[in-house]
Amino acid sequence: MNSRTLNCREAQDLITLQVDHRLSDDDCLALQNHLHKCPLCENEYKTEMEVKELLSKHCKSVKIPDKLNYKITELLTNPEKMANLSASLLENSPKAITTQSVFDKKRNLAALTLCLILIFLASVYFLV
Amino acid sequence: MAIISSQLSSQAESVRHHDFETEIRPHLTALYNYAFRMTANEEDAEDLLQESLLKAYRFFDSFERGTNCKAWLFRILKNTFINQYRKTAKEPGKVDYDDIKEFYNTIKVESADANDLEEELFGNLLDDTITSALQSVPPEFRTVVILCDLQGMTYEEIADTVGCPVGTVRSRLHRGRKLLKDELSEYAKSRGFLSEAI
Repeated sequence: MNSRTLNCREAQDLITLQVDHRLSDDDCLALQNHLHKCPLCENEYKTEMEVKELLSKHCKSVKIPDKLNYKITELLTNPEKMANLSASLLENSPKAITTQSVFDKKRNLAALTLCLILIFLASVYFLV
Repeated sequence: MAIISSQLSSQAESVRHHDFETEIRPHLTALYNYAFRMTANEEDAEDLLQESLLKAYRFFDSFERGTNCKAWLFRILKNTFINQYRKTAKEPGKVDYDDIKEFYNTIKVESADANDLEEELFGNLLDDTITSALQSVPPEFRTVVILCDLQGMTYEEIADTVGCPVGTVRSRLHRGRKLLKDELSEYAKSRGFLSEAI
């Protein structure tokens, strides 16, 4: 079975996918054939593999520190405190524009415009 | 009437709180790890996690039960990080590898035949070095590298969390790993740890 021939640009696009085992058998074969012939791409693949292995081998999952665990448990078992803190959090962050507040602003603007139109029409009616 | 309705609303609040706790508990350790790797600092990670949990609580009603809670929580944390730390982040300076090298030489001399101890100490040292080096990688690349290589998420889960196409996840991974590798290569060459880069 002949696999297709890749150029370096095509191979580069496949390298990360190969490192993460996302290539189909056909693409995998095509890439391997290219890597056999191309030291530059081969080195690129090797390096990316090594970085991934380094991370997964040497960066262990850390436990939540006891102090933080205690704080979180305290929050989770106290609904009132949680509700108060999360409410005050949003009050203190002026840039936290939620979609709901934007909608409210538009709705208020529409209501105001409608009132002005009605006042205008009413005044025209009474003047005539 | 008012008493009944206030009882009902506090009951509803109680249920909501219980639901929230049930949904988030399984993901807390993973969330902390993500926060820690993004900030490389226990205190900052603690603040980041707490603020993210409070936000998640506030917007819990917008979360569709039964969908991917982990991705939702991670996205909140990622956005909180971007809001807070991009503004206050120190200049991503070079890691001072001389201090690390000197430390390693010291423990190597002092523990002559304690190979296990050396491996454990070296392993922790490398962990710290990688965590520090990650700080020099821009946040959008740092995030995908952490989520893929440390959290073990799939491209689809990462895309869901970060809010970008799967193709973008792939290209950011490629670039992020390369940036991390460049940052680590100075230290790695002195230890003969990674193969020589071109």
